[in-house]
Amino acid sequence: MKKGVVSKLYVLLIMLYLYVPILVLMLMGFNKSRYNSMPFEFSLQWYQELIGDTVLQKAALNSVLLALVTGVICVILATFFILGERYLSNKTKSIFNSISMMPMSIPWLIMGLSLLLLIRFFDFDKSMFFVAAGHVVISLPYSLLVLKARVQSMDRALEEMSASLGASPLTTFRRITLPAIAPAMVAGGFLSFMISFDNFAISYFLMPAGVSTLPIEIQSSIKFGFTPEINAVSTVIIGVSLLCLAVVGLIMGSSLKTMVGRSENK
Amino acid sequence: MSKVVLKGITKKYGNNTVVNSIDLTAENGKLISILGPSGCGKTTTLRMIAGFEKPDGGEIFFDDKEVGAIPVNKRNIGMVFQSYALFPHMTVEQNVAYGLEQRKTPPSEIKERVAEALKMVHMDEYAKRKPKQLSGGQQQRVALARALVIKPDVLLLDECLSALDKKLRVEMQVELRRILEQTGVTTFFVTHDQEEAMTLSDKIVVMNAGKIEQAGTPFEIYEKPATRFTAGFLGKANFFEGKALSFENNKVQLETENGNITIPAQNAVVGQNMLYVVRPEKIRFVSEGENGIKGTVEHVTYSGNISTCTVVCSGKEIICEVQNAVSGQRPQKGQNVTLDWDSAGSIEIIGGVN
Repeated sequence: MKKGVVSKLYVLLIMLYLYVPILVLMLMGFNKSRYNSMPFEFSLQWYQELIGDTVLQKAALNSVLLALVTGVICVILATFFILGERYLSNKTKSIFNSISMMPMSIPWLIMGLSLLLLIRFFDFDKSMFFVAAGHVVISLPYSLLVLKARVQSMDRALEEMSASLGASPLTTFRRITLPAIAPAMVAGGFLSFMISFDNFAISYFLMPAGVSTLPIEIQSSIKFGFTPEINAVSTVIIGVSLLCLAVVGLIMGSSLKTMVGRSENK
Repeated sequence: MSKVVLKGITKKYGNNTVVNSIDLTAENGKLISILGPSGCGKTTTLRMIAGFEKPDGGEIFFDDKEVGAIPVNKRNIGMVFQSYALFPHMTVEQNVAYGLEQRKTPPSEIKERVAEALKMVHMDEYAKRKPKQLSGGQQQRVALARALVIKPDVLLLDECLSALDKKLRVEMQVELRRILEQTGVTTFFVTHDQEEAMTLSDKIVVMNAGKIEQAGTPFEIYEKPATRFTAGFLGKANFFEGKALSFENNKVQLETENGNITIPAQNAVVGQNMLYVVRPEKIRFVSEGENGIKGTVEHVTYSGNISTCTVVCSGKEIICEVQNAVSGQRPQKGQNVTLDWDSAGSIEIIGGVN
């Protein structure tokens, strides 16, 4: 009994530690005070300002588009990588694996800097193309991780069975492999999307002048003194992320059952 | 439906020869079991017939056609895996229809043939279900229907019954036999279960370490094993090995490592090393005073219809099985007994002594 109370308290403390800052941030977005100060007075003023703030909106749109492009490219690259990797010998496979996971262990700061130096070296102009390329490099490992887990748990016999029933490799991919890995593609893409959306370091180094993303915009507004508009935009982002997460969870949820059903057969 | 011939089929993984130049013929419409311990190359052999693996040497013929260059999806084979590999995102019906769709069969005919196939395996009621809603036995039936509906030239079954519990397995064996007789398709059945191979097969191929030890009818394999491995792998076996000291009146005296022993036999070459195998059920207990091998019952295992006894005769353990009939008594532990069997019960394994 006592043990139960203690463990519940413990969980509560961790939850508070994790979520209180975010809750305060969201709450202050609805506070009239310009300086996030008490007493609390409900107001939608900052949301109204947000609607009028085209700079911030443009930055947000840039971020979404950039993350979308990054997510899609990462999923496509990761899918080809994972499916192709199965035909390699174990030794080659492990080498490829380590290389592909490397960007996870290299600080983004250094990655951004090195990409910038590379562009300088070849005397290219900074452009959104290089920003996206940089984002793909750092986001790809996340798509890879999710897809790899799915493909590894997938029964190869399914594809062999499809071939034995007369299906060409392309048909097998379309009708058997793709449905099996589609949920992981969505989940992996979402993860890469979030990594890109959140990224500051790479964008900061590579972004051409006059263009900005949400993280860059927020950073610069802090420098010049910010209003709770930032809280408002953060709240919107959190809301949209939660919505995406719910959708992904829903898709993954139904496919999780299929996965479980299959592993029971083994 | 085809006759399948394997000629000198070899498969290597690196320096490891998994299948070593095997020859094998499956007559049209027969069921051939490939039997052996795990790692003997039986599954690899099956996968080469299917086309999943490319042989490093030798040829495979379906009738007179060499199929080596034909990819899996053009070979017209039916396959059932141990895991069944039903497509989880499709219904039973869609699973069975898949192969026909690949063959561009008209939809009306697909519907008809799928229904027919499901009826044959008694799964017509479950057509709309997803695989995960089926029991192991039911999945097994669907997998079989899916493999048969395309009217394959050859049916390949890879340990497909071993995931079922024993009662269901026996049921499915009978069912499988019925369905295969009905369709008349040439079938290869890979298993490590010797009992299953016995009941199902027209012909058993015993494999060990990438080679065929013996091929023959279940009767031949059990009653006339050609090698020590076959004799030991299929059923229980007592081996008697040693130099024949004398041979008269269908009795051979052998000089074994446990001392001399005299056993019934139909043939022996005096002065040569001989190897005989005696099946436990051929051995009978005779009353004391009669001629026979004297020993002491060391251990009795009761298993319902039979009792298995271990009898120690001058240091050598002999396993024998007795029917638990109404009359007659079961041997007791510690009892002194005399064993005997017909001379035909001693099967001579030629070339078995190395």
